[in-house]
Amino acid sequence: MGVVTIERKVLEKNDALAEHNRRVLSLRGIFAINLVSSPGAGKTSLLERTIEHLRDTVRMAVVEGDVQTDLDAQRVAKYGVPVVQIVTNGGCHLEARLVQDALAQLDLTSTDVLVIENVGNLVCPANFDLGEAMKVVVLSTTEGDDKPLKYPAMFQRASVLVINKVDLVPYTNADVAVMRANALSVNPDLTIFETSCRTGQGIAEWAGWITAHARARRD
Amino acid sequence: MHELGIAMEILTLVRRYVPDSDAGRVRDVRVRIGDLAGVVPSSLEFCFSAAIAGTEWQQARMVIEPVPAQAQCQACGHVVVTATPGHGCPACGGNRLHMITGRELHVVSVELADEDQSLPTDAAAAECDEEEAVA
Repeated sequence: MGVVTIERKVLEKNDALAEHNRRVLSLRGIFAINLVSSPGAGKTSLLERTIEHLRDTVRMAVVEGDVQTDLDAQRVAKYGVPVVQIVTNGGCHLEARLVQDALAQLDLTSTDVLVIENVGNLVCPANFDLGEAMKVVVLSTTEGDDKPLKYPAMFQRASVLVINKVDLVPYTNADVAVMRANALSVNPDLTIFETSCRTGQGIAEWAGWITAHARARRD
Repeated sequence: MHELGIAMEILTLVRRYVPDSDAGRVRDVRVRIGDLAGVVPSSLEFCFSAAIAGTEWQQARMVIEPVPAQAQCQACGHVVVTATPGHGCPACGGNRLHMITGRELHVVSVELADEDQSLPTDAAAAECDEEEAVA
């Protein structure tokens, strides 16, 4: 019996492609975020409100990931923002190679901020680096305040948490203070925003944070 | 949910170290999986066996070495084994726990039987097995 030692990371190919994407984006001074959440938390709505808020000051581009349809790309395209739709045909997450192909379809010379909206899934996308500067996890109040404890990997790997649908808190059992505490217990370094895409609450703060990061990259 | 893709990546990695001509000698494919790697071991085993069924690799067996999730308190240095990092340091109550193990997703090694123990790997044998499986 012989043993062939391998000792390699299973996802090393994805990691290498992600690093390549990160270099391409960094060379252009682009601030790229990987927007993750479970389905229906409000990623696309948050993106729409963000674009409305920033379109006169920040040049944005969007990569949309979905299992099926280009409905989200259609929503984003209405705002006049360059958008590429990736349809995974059942795939539960985006991978660096798919993003690399999408980047080739965008004019990166006139982009300040790239938002990669991942497939709605609070588990699998945590494992796959896309080359983003940071992951932003969106959690809606209707999902419950225990989710950071139940899905810790995503909250550990994210830099920012956006607690969305705060206008619905009176109609749920969720406690935003508990949600915050649970998220910070899993990852004490999280920056947290509270938003409502219906009332506009918190959008200015969130958009301001994006602008500050975009400026820091460009300068 | 993404275990099939990971199983295929594992097979791709193994094939870079073991030529297809030696596939019949492959016994154990050892992988190391952290408790917080986001991979379900039984699902990965199932997907790996599905990925190699009917190929020259079909007698390979995935052996999973689990790695417990360990975190170290940034305040007092205490190391705690925990799958739920939401609970603070049991020694000092500090809330800054830094994960030190538990996210591993590695192919460790492949065990090869001696050449005289090689199983038939030609296409005809694989095809025959497929027919039997269908029947």
